Amino acid sequence: MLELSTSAKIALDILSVVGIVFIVFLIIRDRLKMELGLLWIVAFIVSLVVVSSTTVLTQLTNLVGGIYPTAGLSVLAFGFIFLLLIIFTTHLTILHGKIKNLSQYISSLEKRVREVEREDQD
Amino acid sequence: MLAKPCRLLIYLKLLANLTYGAQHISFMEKILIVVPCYNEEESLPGLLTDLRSIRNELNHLDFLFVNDCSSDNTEKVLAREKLPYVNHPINMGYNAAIQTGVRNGLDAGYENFIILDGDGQHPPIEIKKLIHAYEKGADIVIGSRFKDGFDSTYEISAIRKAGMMFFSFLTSILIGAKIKDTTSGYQIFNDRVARALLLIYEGQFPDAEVIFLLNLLKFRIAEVPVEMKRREMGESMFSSLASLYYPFRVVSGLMIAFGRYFVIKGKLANA
Repeated sequence: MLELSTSAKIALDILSVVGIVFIVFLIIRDRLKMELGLLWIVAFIVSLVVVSSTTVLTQLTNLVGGIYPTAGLSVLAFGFIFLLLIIFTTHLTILHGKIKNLSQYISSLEKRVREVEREDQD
Repeated sequence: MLAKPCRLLIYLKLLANLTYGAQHISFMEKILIVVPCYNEEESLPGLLTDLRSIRNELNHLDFLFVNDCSSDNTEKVLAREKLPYVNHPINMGYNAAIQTGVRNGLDAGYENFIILDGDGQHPPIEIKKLIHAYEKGADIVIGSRFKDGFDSTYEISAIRKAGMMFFSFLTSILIGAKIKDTTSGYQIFNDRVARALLLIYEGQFPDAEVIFLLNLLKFRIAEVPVEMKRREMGESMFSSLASLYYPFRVVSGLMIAFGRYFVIKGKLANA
């Protein structure tokens, strides 16, 4: 079973830490909602653990039937991407419904304002 | 030159402040009670009776109900009772409902706010205890469901109580003062706290992070035990899924709170 080189581990760990710091920065600056930010933080922590622990990475790679440790990492990455897509598409659908309701509410309000203005003019 | 009635009012207000301390809510200062509601058509009639009763005793109370896009007849009940209310065109959650009420109150010039849930869990009679503690000089007073130790005024599941005790312990260490009930929505606060809450509220419901941020922003926080009731009717804003996710979210929020503090402090200074 091949292993990740030390330099590769260090590089990936640094990337994960930088990713966590960046996500925290986005949450603090209100650029990212806490709920979605936590998802990214968990993903980076999982990748940190998987990359740092040879045992975990080996077991994961064996589980997916791979030889190279990057196979296990790739499956993890794909799994996370699919999860994100499901979450985002669900959010989009909910937001679409809310925007539709908001638009209909605003159009009713606009109609009422016009009618009130017309009555005032009369 | 001010007219005589205006000068008289100013002198009376100054006299009240000197006599009772700067926080005293004089007869001229109204309190706005913000009541977030989500599918509360069954709870509202009983709550309204109690609210009107307390308003007869303390006549400087005004109400504002915030209907968070209820799917039942909550709005019809509010309209029938001729109560002041605002509607959310889409469901936004508990914290957003409070923000809507507070925003409306600040625009109308209110300086004191009480948050009271529309599900009947917060008996209006306990408002007197909140006001009494508030007048001693706190910026925000939290009505706690815990009396001696962590004995609740109604039965709470062991898991939930353990969670609340843990967050109480965390919060108390962080702010250096004992706060038992970090999730209570039964609160009274002034307009400065109200403006801060408009920036602080990020999650779906109040939690330890809010208390921690208020403490960092140098607001005086007090807590007073009040009687609370278990929700009997209506629909909770907190789904069971949210209850599972909640501890994880609170701990993360507390860790990130330091960073948010600097951003919020800057926004408040520029406001």
